Amino acid sequence: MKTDANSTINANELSIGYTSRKKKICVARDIGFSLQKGELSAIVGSNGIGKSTLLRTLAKIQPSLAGTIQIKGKPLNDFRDIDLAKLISLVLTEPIVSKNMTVFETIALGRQPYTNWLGTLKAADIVKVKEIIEMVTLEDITHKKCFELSDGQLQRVMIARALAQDTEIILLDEPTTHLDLHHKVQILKLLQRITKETQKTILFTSHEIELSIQLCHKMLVMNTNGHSFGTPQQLIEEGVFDNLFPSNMVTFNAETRTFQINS
Amino acid sequence: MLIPLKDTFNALLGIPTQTEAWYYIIWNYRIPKGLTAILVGGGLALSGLLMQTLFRNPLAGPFVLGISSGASLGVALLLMGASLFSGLLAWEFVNSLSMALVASLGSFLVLVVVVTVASKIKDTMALLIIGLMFGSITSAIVSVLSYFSDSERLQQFVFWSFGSLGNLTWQQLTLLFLIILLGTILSIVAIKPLNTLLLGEHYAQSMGINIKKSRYSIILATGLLAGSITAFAGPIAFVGLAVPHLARQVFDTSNHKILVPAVLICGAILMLLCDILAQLPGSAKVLPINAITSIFGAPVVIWLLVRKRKMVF
Repeated sequence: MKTDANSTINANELSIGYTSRKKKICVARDIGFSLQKGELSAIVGSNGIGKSTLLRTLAKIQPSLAGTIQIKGKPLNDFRDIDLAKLISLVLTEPIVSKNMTVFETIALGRQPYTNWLGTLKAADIVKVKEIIEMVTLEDITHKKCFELSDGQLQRVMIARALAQDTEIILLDEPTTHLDLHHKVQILKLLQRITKETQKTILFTSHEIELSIQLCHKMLVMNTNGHSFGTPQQLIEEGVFDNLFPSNMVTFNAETRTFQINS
Repeated sequence: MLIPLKDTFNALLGIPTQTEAWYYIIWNYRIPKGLTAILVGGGLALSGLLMQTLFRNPLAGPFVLGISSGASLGVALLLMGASLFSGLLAWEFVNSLSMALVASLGSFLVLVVVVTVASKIKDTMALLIIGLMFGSITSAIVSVLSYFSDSERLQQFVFWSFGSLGNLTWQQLTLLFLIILLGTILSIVAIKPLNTLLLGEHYAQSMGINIKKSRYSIILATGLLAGSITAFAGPIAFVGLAVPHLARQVFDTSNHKILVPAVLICGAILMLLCDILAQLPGSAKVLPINAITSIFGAPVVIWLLVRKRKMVF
């Protein structure tokens, strides 16, 4: 696979799943895509298709079963953990363990890959954290504890923490779950703005297909009979969304770019 | 024994007291006991803090891993097993040193098993349950042993399980200090991973923390702290569980850079207070320290729970 200077993540003939004992359980196979600098991309597909597994595989939390993942042209497995921590940051679905930390402390933890053995923040780290707080507009709640925050606020704090890690790539697992439409749009617009302003590569899993079509540069649509990758327009033209769900329930309207419930 | 304050200070400064016995009591009983209380309280509290963060569980303590159970099992086997198999074990030197030795052996045996299991099982909750199972196995074996053992041995075991701060010689105290110092150093080195673990293991890993290595060093630190303390002072309940919560409330933070020194100090103070209460001022009677820590400690945790509605962790 060709890699140019702007390409950040390349996946080729990737199989993902779990290895237990001697048995391999393959969740999805033959996944291929390439993401560029400054692109916001979404992974969509029905429940259990392997969106989160793919994201975790890309983050090196679990190993891939076959195929290759390249980060900036170098195989993922060739990176040391500490070097990868400076390239990829995460926002996960699992709730954080301690909500007794303040917003500032939580975001500042993102600076860990750059701090000394005790995790002491230097002046430059504090400047960076403050910049990010401003960027994500969290100034008003900086000194609040995490347990005092709403779901939408906490999600923005976790995105800010990922930003504080100062990585070229940010991976987010369902960043808009449990949020109402206003806050969903707020989060996705924020991600769009970050890609534009910082030229980062952002990849997230989502059930918000219609919103993703409107906001993303590229989309990976995972389906049982194969995965499609491309710009939303390309995917619509290929009719990828038409058979994403059983057609007797919902159909995709290419004109309005929305799903409609069949009566 | 009541020793006048003036003579206490004199003894501390090395000036001879009115009675030579007083000097001896202060330097060989009271000072070691105070120092033991400080080491035991601080060490137990620190091991509790490590466990709570590692297992993401506000109710975790050094007992949860089964380390104290291992120590109890060792002592039970020595005291009561020896009488059972008296034909095989002809030696009759059940003293505090041999008890400390078997307790250490017992706790480290459990620790080795826990570390082995930890390398195979990634789920920390499963590890927690394994620790609880060790506790059950231990109490089962202890029950069987006590059923067959004579009353004198049983009484000795029961006394050990009450917990005691006053039985340490200067040599034992030095050994305990060195082990706790090692455990504390390991904990200080683990401060950064501990703070990252406040977000979760996957987040910690994504920030470049070597989870496996950190888990091992945290478990080892806990084992050293809780194991050595149980060996020398018996199983002392509650301190390891409650003090970290107390410190989190008092200092209003979950940052381990503050919490590690905070629990050491809070644990030491609490243990000294409990020891003063156990001495029943003005009386010659000494209550079991384990009972005091539970009677005065448990309501504190309940109060904390009620006041904050839920335990902030």
